Amino acid sequence: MTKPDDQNILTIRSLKMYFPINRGVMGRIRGYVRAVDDVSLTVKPGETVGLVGESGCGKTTLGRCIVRAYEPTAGDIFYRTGGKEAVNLAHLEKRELRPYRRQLRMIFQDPYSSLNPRMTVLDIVGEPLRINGVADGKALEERVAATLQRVGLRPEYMRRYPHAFSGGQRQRIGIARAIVLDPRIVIADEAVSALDVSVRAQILRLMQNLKQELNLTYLFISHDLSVVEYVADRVAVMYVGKIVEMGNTDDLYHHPLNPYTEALLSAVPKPDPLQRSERILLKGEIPDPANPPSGCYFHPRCRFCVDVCKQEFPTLRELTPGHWVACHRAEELSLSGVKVFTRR
Amino acid sequence: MQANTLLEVQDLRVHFPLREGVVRAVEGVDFEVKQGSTVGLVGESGCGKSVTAFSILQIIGKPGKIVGGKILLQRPTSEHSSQMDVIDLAAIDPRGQLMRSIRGKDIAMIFQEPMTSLSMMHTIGFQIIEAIELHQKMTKKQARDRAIEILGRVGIPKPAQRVDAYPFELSGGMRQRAMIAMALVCNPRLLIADEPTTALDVTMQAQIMELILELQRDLGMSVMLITHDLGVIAETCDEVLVMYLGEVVENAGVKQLFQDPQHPYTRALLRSIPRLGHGKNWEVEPIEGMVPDPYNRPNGCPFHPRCVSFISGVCDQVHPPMTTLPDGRKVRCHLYSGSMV
Repeated sequence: MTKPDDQNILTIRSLKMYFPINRGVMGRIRGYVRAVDDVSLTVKPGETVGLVGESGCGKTTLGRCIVRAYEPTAGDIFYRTGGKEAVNLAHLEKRELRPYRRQLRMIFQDPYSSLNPRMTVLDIVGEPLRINGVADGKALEERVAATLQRVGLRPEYMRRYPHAFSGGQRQRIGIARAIVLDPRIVIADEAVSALDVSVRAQILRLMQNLKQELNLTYLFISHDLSVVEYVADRVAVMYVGKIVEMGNTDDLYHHPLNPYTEALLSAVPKPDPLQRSERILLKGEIPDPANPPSGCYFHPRCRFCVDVCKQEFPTLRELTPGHWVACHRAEELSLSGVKVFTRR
Repeated sequence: MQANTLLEVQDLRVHFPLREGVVRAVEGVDFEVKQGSTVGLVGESGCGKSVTAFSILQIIGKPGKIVGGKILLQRPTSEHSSQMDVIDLAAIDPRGQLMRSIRGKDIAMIFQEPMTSLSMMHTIGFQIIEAIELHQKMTKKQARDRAIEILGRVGIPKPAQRVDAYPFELSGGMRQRAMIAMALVCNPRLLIADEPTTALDVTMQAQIMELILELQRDLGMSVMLITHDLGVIAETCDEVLVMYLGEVVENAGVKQLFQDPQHPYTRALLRSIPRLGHGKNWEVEPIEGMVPDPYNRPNGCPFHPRCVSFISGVCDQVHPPMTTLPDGRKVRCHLYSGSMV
């Protein structure tokens, strides 16, 4: 695959994150949950890459591995910026990681539980500055005020506690905390999923503006395929710890190559009563990542399953330029994607 | 009341007297549910959609109280009678015998999070059998067989074994199915579904919605679907009520509503969601500001501070009446009320 020294800001190679299952009094390891299993992904500077999949597919774990909230079991995470040599974040010591923690930041889903209720907004947004020794005292306060303004909050409110803010405002606080250190990459983990629709649109717009103003690169993790289509340049679809399809957003949405992507797109409820269509209903449930089925993990639910699917695991391959798929039958199937709309 | 009307809500008001002030969670809601139809209630958090549903079953949390209006339920006088009887649910004792005979029998409800609404101390079979024994005369054996039958009907594999499973032993989708089974076991005439798929993944959501619609067709019941997801509404409902700050702002058929929304709030809502298939050609337009806090309801029209069609001197002064348009839909907005000249 791609070399780490090309133009990518992030090059993830064969990343694995296995969580041990301990059982019994002795706490012996009885197996592993393969939350992220051999994932490779590249991100270019200034790009928004969407990561979609159902709960338990490993998308959050992948995001957390990148910011090294987890110690990956194996694999590489090359990070490269400003013409410097690529560093492998997966292999750095805690101490060596410090400078990079400022450059890769995260926004979380739940604006209620991701902010400490006993800290004021000034403390929450200012903490990264203090810890990294960037600013102190008056300078810190000024920088926090400027950041709050940037995310659409009034700096006068910085001595208030999170409970005084609505869900949308809290998410703005979370965004302020993420951007206060001038990061290069922001990993947004379901950043708009818990918000009401009218507020969600505000936050989406804010994130797009910030991306322009601050030259950010986003990894946008979400289960909401409509939102991802709206924000992402490229999309990777995950299923049971693996990427099963990856490509440009328009390609992937209009011409999916993996039956799972097709089913996922068809399951999304569309806000148009004239479009009530026959949908592909997936039978059964997502397999247990500690004990996945043989062959292709999707085969028990796939309507195109043949013998080879039950035996061999399909590798992720580039079928058309830039469009990757892990499916034995990708060439022969003609799957239907989302209808194309061009009005407006 | 018309013969095919199952439920008619008239000018319902539900208030929560709190220390900080009175929260008017539901403030004059009117609608009706026809037999066999699916009515959607849509709105953002705090708009009163769940409280409306809770008040139908008289299960509003303390200190909420129905302070006005009527909730008329039309039901047969007895099991096999064709004579109809109208009961005002708002006027009867929430803890009384009559209300308890209606809950779970005539009107059943399913909730968002099955893990918190099922008892984790009892098997799902026990909980379903309990519902049967409350409303039907059956032996223990018959009730158990019925429980197994309904579990199979909602698509739970190996129902004869799963009937003895505890909720924690089931996955999220299966728990939601078990809860649907429990709600449907007494053949209710109205099913109230409060965000039934919000906690589920899209593929599971599609399965559950399909199941609810299929059961509705088979059993001929009416469904009241409460959700914030306009996509789910568009795909399942016949009629839609859009709520904002405790009021119904628009009440229309599903096609009318999505193709030609009338109320500025409905229009803004539809403009604020990304549309699958439109990609970046569709510009999401946020609604400015936010839902006001419930202690400070704006004067006049509750939506006026965020409204793009705001008319100074009218919208911030006069509360708009519900106006019926020539095509039969209802809109609560001064643009249609004739009060602005």
